[in-house]
Parts: sequence; C-alpha cells; structure tokens
Amino acid sequence: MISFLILACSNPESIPEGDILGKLVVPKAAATRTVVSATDADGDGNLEYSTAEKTDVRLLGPIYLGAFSGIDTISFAYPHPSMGPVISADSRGDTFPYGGITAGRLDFACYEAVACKVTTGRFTDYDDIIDHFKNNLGRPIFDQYGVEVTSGEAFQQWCFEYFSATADYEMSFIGVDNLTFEEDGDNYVAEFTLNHTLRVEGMAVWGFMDAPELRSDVPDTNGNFTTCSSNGGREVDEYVTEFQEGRSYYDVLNHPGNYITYGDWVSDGESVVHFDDDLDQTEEVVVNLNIPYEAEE
Amino acid sequence: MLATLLLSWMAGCDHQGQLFVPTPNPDYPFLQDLGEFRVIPAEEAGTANFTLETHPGADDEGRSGVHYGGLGAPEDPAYYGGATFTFEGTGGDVCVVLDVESVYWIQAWWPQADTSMYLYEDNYVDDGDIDLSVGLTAYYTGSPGVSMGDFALPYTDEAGVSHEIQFNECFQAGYLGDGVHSGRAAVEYCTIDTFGRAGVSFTAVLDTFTLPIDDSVAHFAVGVFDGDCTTITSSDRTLNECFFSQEFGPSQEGTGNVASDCDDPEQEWSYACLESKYCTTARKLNTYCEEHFDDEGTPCEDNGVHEPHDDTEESEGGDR
Repeated sequence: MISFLILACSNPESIPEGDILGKLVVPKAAATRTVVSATDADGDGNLEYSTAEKTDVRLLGPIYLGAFSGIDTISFAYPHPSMGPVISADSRGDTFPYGGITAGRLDFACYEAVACKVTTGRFTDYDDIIDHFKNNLGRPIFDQYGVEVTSGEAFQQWCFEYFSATADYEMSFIGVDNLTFEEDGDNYVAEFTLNHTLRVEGMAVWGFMDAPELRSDVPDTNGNFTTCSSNGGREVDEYVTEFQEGRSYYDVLNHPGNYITYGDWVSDGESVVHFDDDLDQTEEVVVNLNIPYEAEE
Repeated sequence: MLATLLLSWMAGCDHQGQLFVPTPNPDYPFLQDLGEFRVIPAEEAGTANFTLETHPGADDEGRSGVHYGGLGAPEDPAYYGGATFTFEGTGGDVCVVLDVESVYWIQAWWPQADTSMYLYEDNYVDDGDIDLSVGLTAYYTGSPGVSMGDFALPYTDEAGVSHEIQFNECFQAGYLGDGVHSGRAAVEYCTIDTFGRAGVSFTAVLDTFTLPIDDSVAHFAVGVFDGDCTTITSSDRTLNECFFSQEFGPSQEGTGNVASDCDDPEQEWSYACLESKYCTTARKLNTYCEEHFDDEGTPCEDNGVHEPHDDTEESEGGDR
C-alpha cells in the first residue's frame, strides 16, 4: 500500500509510460491436482506409484500478466486480450500488449531432466525440488549419469559446478525470500508490478497460469509447460552431455491463445486500470485467475 | 620521433574507405519498376532451364517470366534503392524466388581437417544482398519506379493506441522464427497463399540492402511459380544458389556470365565455371582445388601443406 501511495504521486510530468501496481489472486483450486507419488518402500530400486489429490503451490506454473487495450470475450472459450487484425489464415491476431511481467518464470535448475519443468518462486530449497518431482510428478530426478538425485547437498554441489556459482542466492529457482505467493484463505496472493508500461485509461490487465502437464507415463513431457520452448535457451554440449536448457517463447503475451491449454487458469478479464489527469494510477488493480480452461484435450 | 609521427600520419591517410562507396551506373538505375510478371505453371517450371540464356520468358501479354537484371547505386546515398513488380493471385499458393549474385561462404580452415587442405577462396567483393517482401498491391506504400515503400500500415486498437502492422506476407524462417531475410548473396523465397484472392494484384518488393563492392551493381534473377515453395523443388533442383544460375551479370572479371568450356585454361577460373563446379560437383570445390592447385591463376588456398600461391598474381585477374 505504501509503495502504491508513492507511485500515485510520482508522475508530475504525466509521462505516458510507468509502473502499474497490482495484486494477483490465484484460487487454491488452481494448485489442486491429482498427483503421482513414486516410492521405493523396500529399497529394491523398483518404484511403486500411488495417486492422490493434492493442493500444493509448487503445482502453479509460470503466470503471465500483461496490460492490453481490452478483452475479447467472443473468440475463445475464455476471456482473451483483444487482438489486432489476422494477417494470415494460420495465425491469430497480435494482442499488442502495453507491458507485461510474470509471477514466477521458467528457469533451468541444473539438470537436463528438469529442463522446461521448473518455475521460479515455488521452491524453498533443493530438497523441495527433489520432493516435488518425486511426489507430485511421480518422476524422481536423475542426473546425466542416470543416477537418482536424492539429496539437496548433491543437487547444490552440481548446481555450483554447473553454473560456476558459490552461493544459493545465485540460484533464482530456490529461496524462501524468492517465493511468489502468500496464502490468503482459499487463495494464493502476490503483489506484482508491470514495469514501464504504457498508461492508457481503462486498459485491461489480464493473465493466465500455464499449468504443468502431469503425465507420469510420458517422462519426457511430464511436468512440462506449454510456454516453454525445449529447443531454446542455452545449448549445452560438454563431453557426453548434449541438451538445451529451454526458455519461454517470445510471444506468449502477443499470442496467448497459442499457449493456453487444458488445465490452465485464466483471469476473468474484469481488471481495469484507471488513471487521473496526471496519468497516476488511481487504485491498485486486482487480477483474479479464477477461470479454469477445461476444454477437451 | 619526427619519423614516427610522419609514418603514423601516412598510415592514417592510407585508407579512405572509398572502395566501399558504391558508384552509380547509368545502365542500372537504383529504382526500377519491373512491370507485371506471370505465374509460371508447374509443368513449365519442371522442365525449364533457369539460366541467363534459357529461361521462361514473357507471355503474349508482355508479362515477364523469370527476370534477370541488376540494381545500381543512387547518386545520393541517402535514398533507398530497389525494384518492384506485380503479379496476380491464382487462388492457390505461389512461390516467389529471388537469387542475388553471387555465392558467399565463410572461409575458415582447420589444419587437422583433411577436407580443408585446399580451399577455393570466397570472393567477398562480388556479393550483393537484396531483401524480398510480398504483399497486396493495395497495401504497398511506395510508388513503383519512383520511391520504395513497404507494407506497414497503422492499426488503432480499441483503446485508441496506434500500432504499426506489417502486411508483408513473405514469411521467411530464421533462427528466431519468421520475419527474417537471408544474408548476402543467398537466395530468398517464400510461399504466398492467394486463396480467395485470384486475380488480385500482389506486389513484390526487392529492397537493395548491399551492393557488391566490385561494380556497385547487384545482379539478380527473380520469378514467380505456381505452387508452394516445396513443390517447385525436386531431387536435382533445390531452392539454393543453384536454382537460378548465371545471375551474376556480365561484369565478372570481364569473362562474361557464360562459359563455353570450363576445361579451357582461359575460362576455367571464371565465375561461370565456379558456379558450374559449385552446382554440379556436389560443391566439392576443395576437391577441385586439390586437382588444379598448381594451375596458373587458381583462386585456391591451402593450409600450408603446399606452396602458397602468389597473391599478387591473383589480384591482377584470372579468378572470379
């Protein structure tokens, strides 16, 4: 609130671009999934699987937020930002976002096995990631030699080796201080800032959560995110190791309809930003990610 | 001290960069309107040769087939140069292909690699670069033959904010996706879907990006073919430097763009023969150099295993 008050009187020159402050509300239902746990109770190396419904903030994927000219409630099965003209038959119109940010972004967490499967702001430490992959995705993490990663210490040491790092604060995918959300009743909430965004009276702030694909029977894509390009990111080619770290596609906010798939959660499109005559934001915008996209797969 | 200063001063005046400033050529205007092109049917394209001497020509209505030409430099370098032509949509896919002189390859060698003992030098001063765009004529903002334009039009969103939209429909894929152009000398092509637009006029825009240093004229060949760009290729014809041949114009070292006998010592190092070797011998120019390394005037380099040839002799002619 204090930062919002500061922003509200911070634009004496009426500059048309600036930060937009808001609050993101994600229902816990978005983080409630049927997960698969893998256990090796008798220690013989053969995993046994069990399923259970579970609510876990680590099941929230990256959340993409943007400011747009308006909301289109006709073209899709969910509210979608207004689009410009369709140029070619096989593509959708560009949404021309005024600005954007993520609440948790895709990140590479040291092992090829977790490329395109880790979001920042969801994990407290290395053990938290190990537990998530084993007990939410049903797929323990294996290193480049095919050995299961079972301890946070081993995970940490490999990360330090991989990134030539010396401290955990250099790992943006872990850290209690880096967690995105706080619990608030039936919701997870987070403050966000759309940096250097075009300020247009009445513009909409809209977003969606890219939920992880949960299919333990397909190890390569289990835990993947639609917005992650597995052929992008840094290319690693060292000795017998050859893979790409993955990265977010460049046009997620320009063409969000290309990436929203079954199981994702979308905002209701009712979040509007207002400005006074000096283009100061008059009130914090609240974005509710309360619409599950449940179309047939 | 004085001598050092004098030497430094002389070195400072040694390079004026004039070589890199293109000079206008009255035979090659920097702005050209090439008129209307016909869409070459697949049956004709499948059997035709695409050389300067034999290529699909104009039809009875004067619409060009494959066009061989050249773009020059403007008097005032502040102006963009290029060419335009139009064609009518067929209602299906058409493929627009542009090849600019000549061929360009990054030349590097690694002493341990046995395939690079002999290298055919790239001639970097003979390469041009022309960028291809295609869109509806109604969206073209330039004046053909007078000034270059593009297909960018303003779009105002529902909040009143104006954005620029490119209505260029010639999408060429690169490392980061669509919307790129090839580098110098490389062929450019794209499929245009004219569904629902049969008989509607399209404009192709050839923007001059770089003129060759040697003669300030970017020669090229361009044509429009029926079908998408994957269907006009075959096992012995792919969309690369060899799709159109002899597109390099008549100025290559004065040897002309047609070689009658590449075994003739007077012609074998002409550009026409280089292209012939490049396109017909699985591009094994290093093998060719290995066989002809000791010939006089060869543009071949080696990795130190053989006697280096005389660079002075090469610069005086005899190569491309």
